[in-house]
Amino acid sequence: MNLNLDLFLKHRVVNWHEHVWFDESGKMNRAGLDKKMEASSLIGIDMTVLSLPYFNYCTPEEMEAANNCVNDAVALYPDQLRGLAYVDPILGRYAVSEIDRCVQNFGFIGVKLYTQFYLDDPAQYPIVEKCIDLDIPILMHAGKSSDTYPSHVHLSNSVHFYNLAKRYPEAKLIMAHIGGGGDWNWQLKRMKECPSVFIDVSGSVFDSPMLEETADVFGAERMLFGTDGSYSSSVGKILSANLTIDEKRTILDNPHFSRYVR
Amino acid sequence: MIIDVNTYIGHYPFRRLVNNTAEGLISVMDASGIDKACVCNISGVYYRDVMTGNYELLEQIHGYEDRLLPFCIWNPDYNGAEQDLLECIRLGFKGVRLFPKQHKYKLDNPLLSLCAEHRLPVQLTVFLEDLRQRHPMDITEPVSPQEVKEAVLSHPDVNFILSNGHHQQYASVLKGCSNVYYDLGRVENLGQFSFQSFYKNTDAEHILFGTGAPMQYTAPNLLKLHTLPMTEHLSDEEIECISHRNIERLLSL
Repeated sequence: MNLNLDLFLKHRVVNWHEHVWFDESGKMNRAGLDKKMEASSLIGIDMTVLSLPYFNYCTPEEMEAANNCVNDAVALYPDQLRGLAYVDPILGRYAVSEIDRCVQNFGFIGVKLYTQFYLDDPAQYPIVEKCIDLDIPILMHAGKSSDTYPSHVHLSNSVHFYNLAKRYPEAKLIMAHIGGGGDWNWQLKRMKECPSVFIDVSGSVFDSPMLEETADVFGAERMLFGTDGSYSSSVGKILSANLTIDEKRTILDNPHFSRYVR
Repeated sequence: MIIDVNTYIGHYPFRRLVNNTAEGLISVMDASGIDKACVCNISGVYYRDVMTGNYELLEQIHGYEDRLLPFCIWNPDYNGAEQDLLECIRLGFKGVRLFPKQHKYKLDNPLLSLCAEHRLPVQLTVFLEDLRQRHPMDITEPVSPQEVKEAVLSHPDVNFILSNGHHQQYASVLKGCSNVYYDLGRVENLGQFSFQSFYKNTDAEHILFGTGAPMQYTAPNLLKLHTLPMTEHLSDEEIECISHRNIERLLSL
């Protein structure tokens, strides 16, 4: 077997896309979190950025509970975890104030958005403006699925990223999981025109030559490493991809984002 | 030694591939440390007469027979299916790959008994690609676990191989079926408990190594092979079974 993990074990690796979840009792799924940290230790992932999104609309209390849970997880592994504030745009000013709460009180380093609204929906504007003010990135769940799933009616694809990036070129937008399932060819279209949009490589799909084609459009300097629960796929695709060592190291510890995860 | 049970050459109609020739596949195998591979011609899946794709495969792997083990694509519903299968056996194909959704036939076909008679394993690729990215002309769903179970129970002397799927779903339905084998596919052992769920319903003697190359990168499944001893405490013997002994036994190598 030719499998050289030195790229991960001997260099700094930052995982920009992972989650902690609630268990059936509504408490932190500690076993799930520990399993992810075990994988991170085995593979050589030094820092992981966590969030806990809801798949449907939530109440202010639920939104706060999710971010409190992420903060509790970060407290368990303070040298290896950082948090993103999940906010639901339907909550309007509560969502914006929640970003302040998480950044000021918890030290969270960005915002996580999910499928409640398309990224370019006006409901997102106050959140995007707050993130620009705070100079923090937005990680948006993204994909172009060939079929519509009830939980993903407003799944944002590159069209929505293009529109928002043109309206808010100062916003630092991360398109989640090029390997998250869905037409990844679609996701690459027109993204050369949007230098403020970045992409993470996470997801269970490890098609070849996905990363090479992504690098052709985004360049390694606009790519981030992530796993989103799919560690072997996400790590393996980096190892296999026909990219230079420098390109891979840039993806694994993107210099544009280093200041957030020191 | 590592034997990859799930590889391809040829053109895939829905996106660009690289290294999809015999030479390209060998180069991927060399870079990955994979010794031999079971290979079929993905172009042939989309031919009306899949047998012409099988002849193409033999032409293209000529000279690489020590490393590339040909699997034929077979449509048991097509004219001359029985004669085509016998011809494939005569030509030295090691196994059969079925694509019942693409070719629109029921998996539980009486002609599968020919595979038992000639000791040919029958392989089903659960996903060629994740169906969330499917082309409008592509299939809409994989073969269901229940449909696989019907075929497996109807043909207890046929060895079935499931490739590239989320096999924990299939294994829970097919538990106890000793003639079913799974490659590592999309079962995850790192950061998740899905391999543990899968392993409750099968064992190391029924797991194979497969990558989906060159449609998919090889390192994800190599990484699983490398880390299973650490995460699931599989023994060296069990890893040897997965990496080559089980498929050698199935193919009488």
